[in-house]
Amino acid sequence: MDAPGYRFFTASPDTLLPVAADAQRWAKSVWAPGEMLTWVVAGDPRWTSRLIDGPDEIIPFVAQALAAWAEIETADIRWKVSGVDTSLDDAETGDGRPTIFVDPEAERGSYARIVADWIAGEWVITDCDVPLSPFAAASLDSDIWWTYVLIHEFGHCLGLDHAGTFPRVDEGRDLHLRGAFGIDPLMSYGNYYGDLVSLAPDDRLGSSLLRPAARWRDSTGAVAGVVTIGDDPAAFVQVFAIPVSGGIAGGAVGSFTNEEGEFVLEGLDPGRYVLWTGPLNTLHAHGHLLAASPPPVIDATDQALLLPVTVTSGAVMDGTRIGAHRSRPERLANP
Amino acid sequence: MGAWRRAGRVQATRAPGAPVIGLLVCLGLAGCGGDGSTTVPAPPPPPAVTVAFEPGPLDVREGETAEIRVAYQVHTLDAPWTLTVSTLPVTASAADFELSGATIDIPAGQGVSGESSFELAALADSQFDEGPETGALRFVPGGGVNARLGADLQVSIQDGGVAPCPALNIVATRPERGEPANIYIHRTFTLQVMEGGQGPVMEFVAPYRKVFPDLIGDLPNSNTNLAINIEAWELTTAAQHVEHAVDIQMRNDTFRDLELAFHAAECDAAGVVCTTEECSMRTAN
Repeated sequence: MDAPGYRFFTASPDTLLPVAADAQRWAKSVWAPGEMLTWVVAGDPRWTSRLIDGPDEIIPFVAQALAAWAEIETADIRWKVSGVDTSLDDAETGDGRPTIFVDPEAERGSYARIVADWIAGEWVITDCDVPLSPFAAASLDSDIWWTYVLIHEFGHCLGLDHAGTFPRVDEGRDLHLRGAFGIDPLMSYGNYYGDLVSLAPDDRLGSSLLRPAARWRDSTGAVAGVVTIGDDPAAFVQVFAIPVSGGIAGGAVGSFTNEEGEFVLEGLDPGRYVLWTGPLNTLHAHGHLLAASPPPVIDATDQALLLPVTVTSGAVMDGTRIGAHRSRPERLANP
Repeated sequence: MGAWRRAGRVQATRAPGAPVIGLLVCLGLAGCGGDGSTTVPAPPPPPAVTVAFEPGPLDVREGETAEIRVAYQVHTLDAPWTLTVSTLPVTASAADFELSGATIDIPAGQGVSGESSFELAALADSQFDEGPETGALRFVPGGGVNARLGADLQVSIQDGGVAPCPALNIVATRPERGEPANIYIHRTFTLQVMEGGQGPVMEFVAPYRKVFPDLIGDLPNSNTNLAINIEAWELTTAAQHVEHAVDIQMRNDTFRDLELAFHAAECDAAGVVCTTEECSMRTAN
């Protein structure tokens, strides 16, 4: 398959949006399939807050964020936090020891500092550290938001880029948004104030494609096709698959089209899905796509295919053609 | 004690020692004549004809026609007699249904019974969120005959929806308060789609609204995103079609018209629109 799938970091400089087979993964010499990856917390005295008095007390929060990914049954993600390394004030870049530390110069609350090396003709991940700004470190115990942020950054360390957000009326942090699409992926810049340890189906799917559990992929199928606007490809638009096999929808998964408007949705459980397309909903989460050539189509309307597609295990349901329409109000107009 | 009755009069004799039953009977028959006699009002004459609708109520879908049967029994008619049927709109309007052939001719005769029938057409319209609409049918007798007429026939007209594409039919519910009620309203759209080919695409033409995330570097500082929630989506499968029940929710403080367009061969590009008042199919200019 040449079309892109989920949002992974690419192992090849020639591909902006790789399929799972071409995604950037951890070097086997550092974190091979089936092995354990061990994190440490830097022994920084800045780990203080109203209730936290030292790095030992943030271990439970780190463990909880790592466990959110480790508990995915369809993925092979074995990692843990071993404790505090008092010899470290912060992380050493590229030492192959993933570290959580306080970065007083961090402009944002947190980020994933991924180190990739060019080995045997592809980029592979050899280290990943997660710094927290002082105000984030001081808020871990009092605002659950920062645990969500840790989970998000650990997802980047797995090799996941930003997912797309689902179409909905944004009501802010305080209302619990689900509906047919389910909660937004934690790897998106959306609303994900749901069950802390239950990632969205889209998060679980992406991480499972990166590090699949044994024989999981044998049971899945895929849908592939192309989105066009008139005779032109609809570049970098979102395609969602809403599962409806059980009659009631719940928990969509998503992908993007490439420059040619082609898409593939991999790792789908067998069953029926309603396909939905639309442009990026959170533009600021996809800066690298906005800078691509051709640029993404952002003024198309959202739409749904009214005949569901059927996915069977071990097969790719190819040939879906979706015609989009440029009817959305100007995305870049001043308010 | 003995008693006998003659037409129009009751007489009772009183045996020595017998209770005053006869006198009580006399009083019970609404008084007695000064001479001890009584009158009993004659029973009403039987109706010359009895007419009734076949048992209802009647349920009919917009765009369809139902046959309505009427049964009659003639006791005695010296000459043929005619009655008609009128419509009584309740929540339906007079424009929602019409009758044809609703004149019932009863033949003259004695001891005759029979049936007649006419048609009720439930008229289709461009609205598709009306829900069941009700009315009734009532007999309108011609004069000069003592007739017993049956009760009104209750009629319920089911919204037949609209078909912006040949393979697609849509019905919607009336708007209801969502959850929380002070923020949302919602409707459920039922879309029936015939299997075959790729099927139509449902485009959300409106509403969209601006969303302002934090400005990061040179990235655009505003999106316009689809301003609805898909609260629920259910799919059921029948022999040759699938049916979607899609619950669409919007904010009621910034309510905008919901506009949907459908794309496939032979689809009406004008689509449908739902305001706060109604959902209707647009007509192409």
